Amino acid sequence: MKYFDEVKVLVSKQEYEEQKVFKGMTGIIFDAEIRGRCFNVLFYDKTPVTADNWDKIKADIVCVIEIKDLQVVKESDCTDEYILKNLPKQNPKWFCKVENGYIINLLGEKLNKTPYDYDS
Amino acid sequence: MLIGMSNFWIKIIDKKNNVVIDDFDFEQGINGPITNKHCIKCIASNQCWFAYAKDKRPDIMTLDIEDYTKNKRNKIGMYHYNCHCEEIDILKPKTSDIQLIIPEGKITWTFNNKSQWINMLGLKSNEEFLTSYKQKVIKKYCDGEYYIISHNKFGVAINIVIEFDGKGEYLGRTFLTRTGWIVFSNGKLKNNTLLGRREN
Repeated sequence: MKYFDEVKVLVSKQEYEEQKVFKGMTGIIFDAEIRGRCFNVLFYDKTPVTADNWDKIKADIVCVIEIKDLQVVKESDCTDEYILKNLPKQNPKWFCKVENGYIINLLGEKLNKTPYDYDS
Repeated sequence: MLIGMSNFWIKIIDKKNNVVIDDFDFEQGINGPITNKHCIKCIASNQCWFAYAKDKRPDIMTLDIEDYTKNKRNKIGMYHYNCHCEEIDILKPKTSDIQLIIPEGKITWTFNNKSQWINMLGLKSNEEFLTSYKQKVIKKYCDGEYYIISHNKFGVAINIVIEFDGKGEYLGRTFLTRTGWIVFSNGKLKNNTLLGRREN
Protein backbone atom coordinates (compact mmCIF):
# COMPACT_ATOMS: atom_id res chain seq x y z
CA MET A 1 0.00 0.00 0.00
CA LYS A 2 1.55 3.29 -1.07
CA TYR A 3 1.15 6.70 -2.73
CA PHE A 4 -1.62 6.84 -5.36
CA ASP A 5 -2.78 3.27 -4.80
CA GLU A 6 -6.53 2.90 -5.13
CA VAL A 7 -7.86 1.75 -1.78
CA LYS A 8 -11.16 0.58 -0.34
CA VAL A 9 -12.53 1.51 3.08
CA LEU A 10 -13.20 -1.70 5.02
CA VAL A 11 -15.19 -0.40 7.98
CA SER A 12 -17.80 2.10 9.07
CA LYS A 13 -16.60 4.61 11.63
CA GLN A 14 -18.20 7.70 13.01
CA GLU A 15 -15.21 9.91 12.23
CA TYR A 16 -15.26 8.79 8.61
CA GLU A 17 -19.01 9.03 8.27
CA GLU A 18 -18.94 12.57 9.61
CA GLN A 19 -16.91 13.35 6.50
CA LYS A 20 -19.29 11.35 4.32
CA VAL A 21 -16.89 8.47 3.87
CA PHE A 22 -18.58 5.09 4.16
CA LYS A 23 -17.58 1.43 4.17
CA GLY A 24 -16.91 0.16 0.65
CA MET A 25 -15.98 3.52 -0.86
CA THR A 26 -12.81 3.63 -2.92
CA GLY A 27 -10.37 6.47 -3.19
CA ILE A 28 -6.71 7.09 -3.85
CA ILE A 29 -3.89 7.64 -1.39
CA PHE A 30 -3.25 11.33 -1.86
CA ASP A 31 -0.22 12.03 0.31
CA ALA A 32 2.99 10.07 0.20
CA GLU A 33 3.59 10.09 3.93
CA ILE A 34 1.89 8.12 6.67
CA ARG A 35 0.96 10.24 9.67
CA GLY A 36 -0.28 8.65 12.85
CA ARG A 37 -0.56 5.24 11.12
CA CYS A 38 -3.01 6.77 8.66
CA PHE A 39 -3.02 7.70 4.99
CA ASN A 40 -4.70 10.75 3.54
CA VAL A 41 -7.23 9.41 1.03
CA LEU A 42 -8.99 11.37 -1.72
CA PHE A 43 -12.52 10.42 -2.77
CA TYR A 44 -13.70 12.20 -5.87
CA ASP A 45 -16.49 12.18 -8.40
CA LYS A 46 -15.27 10.86 -11.74
CA THR A 47 -18.20 12.30 -13.70
CA PRO A 48 -16.90 14.52 -16.51
CA VAL A 49 -17.46 18.16 -15.60
CA THR A 50 -19.25 20.64 -17.78
CA ALA A 51 -20.37 24.18 -17.11
CA ASP A 52 -23.90 22.86 -16.79
CA ASN A 53 -23.19 20.21 -14.16
CA TRP A 54 -20.51 22.22 -12.37
CA ASP A 55 -22.58 22.60 -9.21
CA LYS A 56 -23.97 19.06 -9.31
CA ILE A 57 -20.69 17.18 -9.20
CA LYS A 58 -20.09 15.67 -5.78
CA ALA A 59 -17.58 17.50 -3.68
CA ASP A 60 -14.17 15.93 -3.29
CA ILE A 61 -13.42 14.53 0.13
CA VAL A 62 -9.97 14.19 1.60
CA CYS A 63 -10.17 11.98 4.66
CA VAL A 64 -7.54 10.61 7.00
CA ILE A 65 -8.04 6.83 7.18
CA GLU A 66 -6.28 4.36 9.44
CA ILE A 67 -4.15 1.85 7.58
CA LYS A 68 -5.89 -1.06 9.26
CA ASP A 69 -9.15 0.16 7.71
CA LEU A 70 -7.85 0.15 4.13
CA GLN A 71 -7.36 -2.50 1.46
CA VAL A 72 -5.55 -2.00 -1.83
CA VAL A 73 -7.80 -2.31 -4.86
CA LYS A 74 -5.35 -1.24 -7.52
CA GLU A 75 -1.66 -0.58 -7.13
CA SER A 76 -0.10 2.55 -8.54
CA ASP A 77 3.19 2.48 -10.39
CA CYS A 78 4.89 4.89 -7.99
CA THR A 79 8.54 4.10 -7.50
CA ASP A 80 10.43 4.64 -4.27
CA GLU A 81 12.26 7.47 -5.99
CA TYR A 82 8.97 9.22 -6.79
CA ILE A 83 7.64 8.64 -3.29
CA LEU A 84 10.81 10.16 -1.83
CA LYS A 85 10.36 13.28 -3.96
CA ASN A 86 6.90 13.70 -2.45
CA LEU A 87 7.77 13.09 1.19
CA PRO A 88 8.11 16.10 3.50
CA LYS A 89 11.59 17.52 3.07
CA GLN A 90 12.37 14.42 1.01
CA ASN A 91 13.14 12.66 4.27
CA PRO A 92 13.41 8.89 3.74
CA LYS A 93 12.62 8.31 7.42
CA TRP A 94 8.95 9.10 6.90
CA PHE A 95 6.86 5.96 7.02
CA CYS A 96 5.22 5.72 3.65
CA LYS A 97 4.45 2.13 2.62
CA VAL A 98 2.75 -0.96 3.94
CA GLU A 99 4.29 -4.25 2.90
CA ASN A 100 3.73 -7.74 4.29
CA GLY A 101 1.82 -6.35 7.26
CA TYR A 102 4.46 -3.81 8.21
CA ILE A 103 4.42 -0.04 8.00
CA ILE A 104 7.85 0.78 6.60
CA ASN A 105 9.93 3.72 5.47
CA LEU A 106 12.26 3.98 2.51
CA LEU A 107 15.14 2.82 4.67
CA GLY A 108 13.29 -0.42 5.29
CA GLU A 109 12.64 0.35 8.96
CA LYS A 110 9.43 -1.06 10.45
CA LEU A 111 7.01 0.91 12.61
CA ASN A 112 4.77 -1.86 13.96
CA LYS A 113 6.20 -4.79 15.87
CA THR A 114 3.71 -7.48 14.92
CA PRO A 115 2.79 -7.99 11.26
CA TYR A 116 -0.74 -6.85 10.38
CA ASP A 117 -1.20 -5.37 13.86
CA TYR A 118 -0.68 -1.79 12.81
CA ASP A 119 -1.06 -0.46 16.35
CA SER A 120 1.68 -2.66 17.79
CA MET B 1 -17.67 36.91 7.64
CA LEU B 2 -15.70 39.23 9.89
CA ILE B 3 -13.43 40.62 7.22
CA GLY B 4 -12.60 43.67 9.33
CA MET B 5 -11.25 41.44 12.08
CA SER B 6 -8.95 39.58 9.76
CA ASN B 7 -6.43 42.43 9.93
CA PHE B 8 -5.51 41.09 13.36
CA TRP B 9 -3.40 37.98 13.34
CA ILE B 10 -2.09 35.71 16.04
CA LYS B 11 0.54 33.03 16.33
CA ILE B 12 0.00 30.14 18.70
CA ILE B 13 3.04 29.21 20.73
CA ASP B 14 3.77 26.58 23.31
CA LYS B 15 6.99 27.63 25.01
CA LYS B 16 7.48 24.14 26.43
CA ASN B 17 7.13 22.36 23.14
CA ASN B 18 9.34 22.61 20.08
CA VAL B 19 7.39 20.06 18.08
CA VAL B 20 5.34 21.39 15.17
CA ILE B 21 2.89 19.64 12.89
CA ASP B 22 5.22 19.88 9.87
CA ASP B 23 7.54 17.16 11.09
CA PHE B 24 5.21 15.27 13.32
CA ASP B 25 5.41 12.22 13.52
CA PHE B 26 7.72 10.37 11.17
CA GLU B 27 10.07 9.30 13.91
CA GLN B 28 8.07 8.84 17.06
CA GLY B 29 4.68 7.78 15.78
CA ILE B 30 1.44 9.09 17.17
CA ASN B 31 1.76 6.85 20.21
CA GLY B 32 5.32 7.92 20.93
CA PRO B 33 6.63 9.80 23.92
CA ILE B 34 5.93 13.23 22.44
CA THR B 35 2.21 12.87 22.76
CA ASN B 36 2.42 11.58 26.30
CA LYS B 37 3.68 14.99 27.37
CA HIS B 38 1.79 17.27 25.03
CA CYS B 39 -1.77 17.51 23.84
CA ILE B 40 -2.05 16.57 20.18
CA LYS B 41 -4.14 19.65 19.44
CA CYS B 42 -1.37 21.82 20.85
CA ILE B 43 1.23 20.18 18.64
CA ALA B 44 -1.11 20.61 15.67
CA SER B 45 -1.31 24.38 16.08
CA ASN B 46 2.07 25.19 17.63
CA GLN B 47 3.81 28.07 15.79
CA CYS B 48 0.91 28.42 13.33
CA TRP B 49 -0.58 31.73 12.21
CA PHE B 50 -4.28 32.55 12.19
CA ALA B 51 -6.49 35.54 11.59
CA TYR B 52 -8.07 36.61 14.85
CA ALA B 53 -11.71 35.90 14.07
CA LYS B 54 -14.30 33.21 14.61
CA ASP B 55 -13.77 30.13 12.45
CA LYS B 56 -10.36 31.44 11.47
CA ARG B 57 -8.48 30.52 14.62
CA PRO B 58 -8.79 27.28 16.61
CA ASP B 59 -11.61 27.28 19.15
CA ILE B 60 -10.42 27.65 22.70
CA MET B 61 -11.82 25.50 25.50
CA THR B 62 -15.18 26.39 26.94
CA LEU B 63 -16.31 25.58 30.45
CA ASP B 64 -19.61 24.94 32.11
CA ILE B 65 -20.04 25.33 35.85
CA GLU B 66 -20.05 21.59 36.53
CA ASP B 67 -16.86 21.11 34.60
CA TYR B 68 -15.22 24.04 36.33
CA THR B 69 -16.25 22.81 39.78
CA LYS B 70 -14.82 19.38 39.12
CA ASN B 71 -11.54 20.72 37.83
CA LYS B 72 -10.98 23.88 39.82
CA ARG B 73 -7.57 22.72 41.03
CA ASN B 74 -6.38 22.75 37.43
CA LYS B 75 -5.31 25.87 35.59
CA ILE B 76 -7.60 26.83 32.75
CA GLY B 77 -5.71 26.80 29.46
CA MET B 78 -6.41 27.59 25.84
CA TYR B 79 -7.32 24.12 24.64
CA HIS B 80 -7.42 22.09 27.85
CA TYR B 81 -6.61 22.35 31.53
CA ASN B 82 -2.96 23.17 32.19
CA CYS B 83 -2.40 23.90 28.52
CA HIS B 84 0.80 25.86 27.88
CA CYS B 85 -0.30 27.41 24.60
CA GLU B 86 -0.59 31.16 24.19
CA GLU B 87 -1.70 33.42 21.40
CA ILE B 88 0.67 36.24 20.57
CA ASP B 89 -0.16 39.12 18.25
CA ILE B 90 1.66 39.20 14.94
CA LEU B 91 1.47 41.50 11.95
CA LYS B 92 -0.88 40.55 9.16
CA PRO B 93 1.27 38.33 6.92
CA LYS B 94 2.52 39.63 3.61
CA THR B 95 2.11 37.41 0.58
CA SER B 96 5.88 36.99 0.52
CA ASP B 97 5.72 35.48 4.03
CA ILE B 98 3.66 32.52 2.88
CA GLN B 99 5.09 29.29 1.56
CA LEU B 100 2.84 26.77 -0.13
CA ILE B 101 3.84 23.13 0.13
CA ILE B 102 2.38 21.24 -2.80
CA PRO B 103 3.86 17.81 -3.43
CA GLU B 104 4.72 17.42 -7.09
CA GLY B 105 2.60 14.27 -7.30
CA LYS B 106 -0.56 16.22 -6.49
CA ILE B 107 0.10 18.71 -9.24
CA THR B 108 0.70 15.96 -11.78
CA TRP B 109 -2.36 14.04 -10.62
CA THR B 110 -4.57 17.12 -10.74
CA PHE B 111 -3.39 18.07 -14.21
CA ASN B 112 -3.99 14.51 -15.42
CA ASN B 113 -7.34 13.97 -13.74
CA LYS B 114 -8.90 17.42 -13.64
CA SER B 115 -7.58 18.83 -16.86
CA GLN B 116 -11.01 18.36 -18.41
CA TRP B 117 -12.61 20.95 -16.19
CA ILE B 118 -9.57 23.21 -16.15
CA ASN B 119 -9.77 23.21 -19.94
CA MET B 120 -13.50 23.74 -19.75
CA LEU B 121 -12.82 27.12 -18.18
CA GLY B 122 -10.69 27.96 -21.17
CA LEU B 123 -7.57 27.55 -19.05
CA LYS B 124 -4.66 25.20 -19.47
CA SER B 125 -3.06 22.74 -17.07
CA ASN B 126 0.33 24.38 -17.05
CA GLU B 127 2.77 26.45 -15.04
CA GLU B 128 0.88 29.66 -15.79
CA PHE B 129 -2.29 28.19 -14.30
CA LEU B 130 -0.35 26.96 -11.27
CA THR B 131 1.29 30.34 -10.67
CA SER B 132 -2.03 32.13 -10.87
CA TYR B 133 -3.61 29.53 -8.59
CA LYS B 134 -0.87 29.92 -5.96
CA GLN B 135 -1.19 33.70 -6.01
CA LYS B 136 -4.94 33.48 -5.46
CA VAL B 137 -4.56 31.06 -2.54
CA ILE B 138 -1.87 33.11 -0.82
CA LYS B 139 -3.79 36.36 -1.20
CA LYS B 140 -6.95 34.81 0.23
CA TYR B 141 -5.09 33.40 3.20
CA CYS B 142 -3.35 36.70 3.92
CA ASP B 143 -6.67 38.50 3.71
CA GLY B 144 -8.09 36.05 6.24
CA GLU B 145 -10.53 34.71 3.67
CA TYR B 146 -10.46 31.11 4.80
CA TYR B 147 -12.27 29.00 7.35
CA ILE B 148 -11.25 26.18 9.63
CA ILE B 149 -12.87 22.83 9.01
CA SER B 150 -11.11 20.70 11.62
CA HIS B 151 -8.47 20.82 14.31
CA ASN B 152 -7.19 17.41 15.28
CA LYS B 153 -4.06 15.28 15.43
CA PHE B 154 -3.48 15.78 11.71
CA GLY B 155 -3.32 19.55 11.98
CA VAL B 156 -5.60 22.52 11.49
CA ALA B 157 -7.39 22.00 8.17
CA ILE B 158 -8.70 25.05 6.35
CA ASN B 159 -10.64 25.67 3.18
CA ILE B 160 -9.97 28.56 0.85
CA VAL B 161 -12.43 29.40 -1.90
CA ILE B 162 -10.87 30.79 -5.05
CA GLU B 163 -12.41 32.09 -8.22
CA PHE B 164 -11.57 31.40 -11.82
CA ASP B 165 -12.85 33.56 -14.61
CA GLY B 166 -14.13 31.51 -17.51
CA LYS B 167 -12.61 32.09 -20.91
CA GLY B 168 -13.76 31.37 -24.41
CA GLU B 169 -17.43 30.40 -24.42
CA TYR B 170 -17.53 30.86 -20.63
CA LEU B 171 -16.21 34.41 -20.73
CA GLY B 172 -18.01 36.51 -18.15
CA ARG B 173 -18.79 33.57 -15.92
CA THR B 174 -16.97 33.00 -12.62
CA PHE B 175 -16.37 29.56 -11.20
CA LEU B 176 -15.67 29.04 -7.52
CA THR B 177 -13.73 26.14 -6.12
CA ARG B 178 -12.80 25.16 -2.59
CA THR B 179 -9.20 24.18 -1.99
CA GLY B 180 -8.02 22.36 1.12
CA TRP B 181 -4.91 23.06 3.18
CA ILE B 182 -3.29 22.17 6.49
CA VAL B 183 -1.79 25.12 8.34
CA PHE B 184 1.85 24.38 9.04
CA SER B 185 4.20 26.41 11.21
CA ASN B 186 5.29 29.97 10.50
CA GLY B 187 3.37 30.78 7.35
CA LYS B 188 3.47 27.44 5.60
CA LEU B 189 0.38 25.84 4.09
CA LYS B 190 0.47 22.18 3.11
CA ASN B 191 -1.86 21.31 0.30
CA ASN B 192 -4.61 18.77 0.90
CA THR B 193 -6.49 19.13 -2.35
CA LEU B 194 -5.63 21.48 -5.20
CA LEU B 195 -8.99 21.77 -6.88
CA GLY B 196 -11.06 19.94 -4.38
CA ARG B 197 -14.61 21.11 -4.38
CA ARG B 198 -16.74 23.10 -6.64
CA GLU B 199 -19.22 25.71 -5.59
CA ASN B 200 -21.86 27.28 -7.75
